[in-house]
Order: sequence, then structure tokens, then C-alpha cells
Amino acid sequence: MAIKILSVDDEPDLELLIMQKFRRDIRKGIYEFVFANNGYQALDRLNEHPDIDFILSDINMPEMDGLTLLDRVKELNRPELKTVMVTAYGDMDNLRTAMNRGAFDFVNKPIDFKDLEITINKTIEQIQQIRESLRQRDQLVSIQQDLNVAKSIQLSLVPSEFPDRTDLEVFGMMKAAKDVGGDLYDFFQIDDEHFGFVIGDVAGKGVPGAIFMALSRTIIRTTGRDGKSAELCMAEANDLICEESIDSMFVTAFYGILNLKTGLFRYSNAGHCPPYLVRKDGSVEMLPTTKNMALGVMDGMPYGLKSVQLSPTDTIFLYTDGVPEAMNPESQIYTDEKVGAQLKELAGKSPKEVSEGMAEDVARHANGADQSDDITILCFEFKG
Amino acid sequence: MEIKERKEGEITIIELVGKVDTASSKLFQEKFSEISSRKEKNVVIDCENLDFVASSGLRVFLMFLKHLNKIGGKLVLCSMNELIYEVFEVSGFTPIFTITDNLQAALAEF
Repeated sequence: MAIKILSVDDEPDLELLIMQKFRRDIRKGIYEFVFANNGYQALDRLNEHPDIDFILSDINMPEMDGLTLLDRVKELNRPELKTVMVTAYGDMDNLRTAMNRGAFDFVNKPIDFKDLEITINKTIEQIQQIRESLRQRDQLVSIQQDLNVAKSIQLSLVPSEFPDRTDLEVFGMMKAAKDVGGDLYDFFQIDDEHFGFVIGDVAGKGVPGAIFMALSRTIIRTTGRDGKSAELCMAEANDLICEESIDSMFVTAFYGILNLKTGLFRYSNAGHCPPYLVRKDGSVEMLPTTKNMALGVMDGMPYGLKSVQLSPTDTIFLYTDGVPEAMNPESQIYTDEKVGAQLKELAGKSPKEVSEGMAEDVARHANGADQSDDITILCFEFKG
Repeated sequence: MEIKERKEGEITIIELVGKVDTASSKLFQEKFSEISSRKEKNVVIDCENLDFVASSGLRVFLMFLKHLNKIGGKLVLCSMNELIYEVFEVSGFTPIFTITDNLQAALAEF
């Protein structure tokens, strides 16, 4: 692309001279010149040609001189737009003023075109460096915004209010990692007798991951509220999510339906880490998985159903892999064994106490290490 | 994490060393982009020295599989330790991947 230079001078001869001296480079498309006779015209030209790379300006001009133009250019707040002053030989006073007002460089009158060319190239080099650093800054800002947007989408979509019921107590929490993993949890009443619980983990980051998480949550919630059995919901959600998956994004998910009258908990597990059943006496067991594929990997897959009978005070602990895989500064993970052991310690406590107790122990293990994945917990107690 | 790559005839062998966690899965994904742009068709991913894989790493395995299936290529995974195999199993991925016990068996799949 041609380097576009605005030449500001009240002497019409200069225009002819420039066109003559640079004619080869203009023909080759290296330079392009725009001309103005004074500061006012120069500002108009800048408006008409936002792609002007730099300004070559005389100082003494009628109507608006070069020094005033410098001030006005500064007000445009375009750090990459540089001005090179053309000064009469030995006019040190004006030259000093111009440099103080932010002129990038100067050339002497009468113009030595060899010198002008060197100055132009030096200026262009500098402009390109500034552009590059501005571009990088913009990129960093947009990445940061991207992450903030992703995080707020994610956090706004998980419920933060919990039902106040006599037959059921629920608590959920999410500690989002710095670069957003895309975890989700959800719960909803299906009908008078049934209550649904969902936990999931999207393999995908940033805004695309957060959008995929939002979509997955909506799809599972919508199919779940229809009142279908858990395995049919998973199969249907999988087909819908497959249609939306780009870049091989997928979501591991667990969906369980609790019968509030009987305590029967029927669930389907699409590639998610198996939840725990914690009984008041301190016995802890993992819910056997239905060994099904994560959602969004392959459509038309069947999903299995398993069930477990809950008694009043039994608690189900759902979590994402950010819990057992939390790392300490030595890169050692927390482990499934520790999750189990900690649940034993916490048996008999309320879902909120269990969740927070687990999160505290994980934080103790992490010992200040950067959290690389979301830590998400959904816990409920069947009260009968 | 470290990724090593070598050729055995027409087969590209990628060896993953260490942990493919959320941060390092980016490197793994870059490797995928590089291999797919080179139009490599036969790929073995050697997991002998792979200690850990997060779900974001699993996604890259899936990208390899989908891409190679699409272009008529083949992907074989080998030498997984118990922990890694378990991650694949829990995610329901074992039925769609070809997984062999060792590198020799993996190369024999082609």
C-alpha cells in the first residue's frame, strides 16, 4: 500500500516540485501525496483522507500556521500520526517551538530531496512500529474483554438462589478459573413429584466455550422439563448439541431426576465424572456410571439409565473435574481418593457445609497455585 | 508438557510427554493445526509418557480423530497408563478411538 503524505505549504511551487522529484515512486505506488495551502485546509484533508500516514508541514503560512496545526493534530489523539516540519535554515526559535509541540522531525528549506526521503523513511518506520504496538494493545484488550464476557455469561447462567423446601435442600457453587473452563450446573422442578439436577463441563474456552455452555444448559433444561426420562433427555440433548458443535467442542454432563415422594434417583451420565452418594453414617459411594459418551461428540448415540434409592438425609455430591484435578504448586492433583475421604469427614452436614468444606480443602491443597480449571459443585440432600 | 514428533515411513508418531492440562492443551492444538495443514493421514499418538489429560486436551484428541476420519486417514492411540485410559473411559471416548497397548501394535494397525 502506498505511503500517503499530506504536504502543507502556501507555496504552490512545492507541489510541482514534489510531484516532479517523486514521480517515479508515485508511479510505482510507493508514495501518494495530498496537498494543502494552510492549516485549515490541512485539517480538512485529514478528515477526507483518514489513511494519511504523516504530515509534512511548513511553519509560516496564512490563516493557520504550522505551529497551530501541530496543536490541532495533537487534539486528534492519533499517536501514530506524525508531523515533520519544514523550516527555514537557521530558524532555531520556530524549530524549538515545533519540537516542543510534538513535531516528529524537521527538514530544512530549501528542501534537499535526498534528505527528505531519508526523513520520510525514518518516519514511516516509526509509524509502523507504533501501529504494531497499538494493534497488539487492542488485541490484548479484546482478549481481556473476551474473557470477561465469557466469565459473566457463565456466572449469570448458573442459579445462585436455592429452593426453600422441606423435602429437599440444594446448594451449588462455582469458582471460575482465570481463563474460563465452561462449567455449568442447574436444577429445576419438573412436576410435583420430580426434580432435575444437571452438572456439566464444556471442553472449550473463552466466549465460544461460554456460548456452548449456555446453549448446552438451555438444551438440557428444555428437554429435561418435558418430563422425559434422563437417558432420553441425554440422547435428545446430544443430537441437538451435535448440530451446534464447532471445533470439536463437547460437554460432559450428568443428569439425574429425583422422585421427591419415593427418593428414587434415576440418572444418565454422558462422560461426566461420577457423583458421590454420602450417607449420614459416613459411608461414601460413587454412583456407577452409565458409561456414555460426552454430549456433542457423535449424534444418534443411545444413553443408559441407572438408579439409586435414596433414604431421607442421604446427600448427592456432584462436581466437575476441577475438584479432583486441582493442582498444588508442585503440580500434584487433589485426587478422587481425597474427594471421597473429605466427603466422609463432611457426612451429616448440610449441602452448603459439604460444598464449602470441600472447596476449602481443595483450596488448602492448591496452596495458592493458579487455578487452571473451574471448580464447580452441586450438592443436595433428600429429606423425604 | 513436551510434544515430540517423528516419522516411521508414512506414519507420523506424536509423543506426548508430561501433562496436557488446560494451559498446555493449546500447544497440543497447535500441533494438530500443523499436522492437519501438512495433510498427514496416518497418525499415532504415543501416550506412554503422558501423565495427565484435562478435558480441553481430550477435545484435541477428538479434533485429530474427526479430521483424520474426514480425510480418509487413521488415528491410533497407544501405551496409555491406567489413569489416562480411565479419563477416556469416563468421557465415553473408548468406543470411538482405536487404542492399542504398545507402539508396535499401533504401527501394525496401518
